[in-house]
Amino acid sequence: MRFVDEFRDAELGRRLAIEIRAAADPDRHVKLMEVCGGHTHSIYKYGLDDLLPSNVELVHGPGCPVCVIPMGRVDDAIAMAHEPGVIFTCFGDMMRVPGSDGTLMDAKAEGADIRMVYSPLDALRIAKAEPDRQVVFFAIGFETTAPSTALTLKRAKAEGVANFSCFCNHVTIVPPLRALLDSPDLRLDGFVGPGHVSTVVGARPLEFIAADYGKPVVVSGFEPTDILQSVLMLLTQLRDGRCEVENQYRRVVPYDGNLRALEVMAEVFALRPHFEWRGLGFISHSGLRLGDAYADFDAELRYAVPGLRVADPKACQCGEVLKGVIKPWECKVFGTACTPERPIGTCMVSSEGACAAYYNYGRFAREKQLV
Amino acid sequence: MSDVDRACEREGAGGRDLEAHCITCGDDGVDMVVVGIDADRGLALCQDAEGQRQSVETALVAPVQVGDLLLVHAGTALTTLEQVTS
Repeated sequence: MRFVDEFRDAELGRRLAIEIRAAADPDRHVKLMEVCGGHTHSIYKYGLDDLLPSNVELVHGPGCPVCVIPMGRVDDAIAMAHEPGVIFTCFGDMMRVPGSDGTLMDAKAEGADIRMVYSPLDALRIAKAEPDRQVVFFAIGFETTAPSTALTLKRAKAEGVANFSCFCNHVTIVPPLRALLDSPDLRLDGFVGPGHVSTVVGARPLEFIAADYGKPVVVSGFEPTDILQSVLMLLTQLRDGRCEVENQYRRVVPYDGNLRALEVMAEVFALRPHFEWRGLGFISHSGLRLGDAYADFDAELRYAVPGLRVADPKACQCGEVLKGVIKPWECKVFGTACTPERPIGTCMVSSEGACAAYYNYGRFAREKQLV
Repeated sequence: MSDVDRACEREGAGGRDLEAHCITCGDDGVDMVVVGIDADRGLALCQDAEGQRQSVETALVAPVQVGDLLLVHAGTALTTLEQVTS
């Protein structure tokens, strides 16, 4: 299949692995963070970490939106879902994210009308088909899904669909990266930059990582040879003493992003002063709310919700995993009390969560053997 | 049973379809080919490699034509990968 087969070429992967070994400084331990959960998923699905020399370590970043939703927001979602007459719609993964007292799946079992959708447009379609019900869409995600929500809200406004509203939890990628770089307990040497987020925002907003923090960035695709080539480009920059933003994913990512998407986001959303991230705490200007022109569609204004901050379970170490401080298998409950079937932490819920990727692709067994 | 119901059931079973990807993040957009256009509503009917069809919002990449390969995430095309028809 075009755009897939050529990027899964085993011989090319082997050649890249040899070049990576040649480019890596054997006397230096290098830590590279892959920002996106999609990269984490590919790395473990294809066993790419096994191709790297032992002194090149991949650290998993916070780029999975399901994983960074705090428990309090899940509680708010469940409260909305229990409102009389409400049809609550969300992406599939969100249904299994634990709140302080169960998941949306549990709420559905208790009788709440909660439906999984593939896109906000599906939620709007439900609203138009059921004009006597209120339809709430649980909007989550980075700049990749935010344009989709924005376009749907524009459509709802233009068509006068008054029974549709949005519980907005969209986040932006740059503020958490800055928070990570400011974190005292994390030392990183470079970033495998976000791929499809950069399709929307471009690679330019990542320039601060090189300019202000002196770390190289390579925006990367998600196929195995994409990621290996990006690691090689980062190691080459480090070897040459360069510090730049490079774009490995040029077949998809324009350096300046998609201006139409940025415009529609600016029209519909406004920045929140701060937003809570699971494991990372409150980060300034990192979340989006609906702008004043779209306040009529804001579910947070339409429904009374608890709006409480809920601390993570004590046993869960998702925070440290999201910051790359520990590996998933080092968490006390990994693979025992916390599994994809019964997740305690969000990183075990989504297939792109670091813990789920480790669990599903056998890392747990391997690490235990090493111990 | 609809595709959505099937997927929901799978999620309910723990989402352990290892080939399935997280649809929420955009890191895993789907390549889809345009097979039909509804210009009045700004939508296109698109098909993925497995033959699944879906209505896709095309406002961010318009104009599109039948045969275009789009990167689709959460029902919205983010970029045009290739003009297949040309």
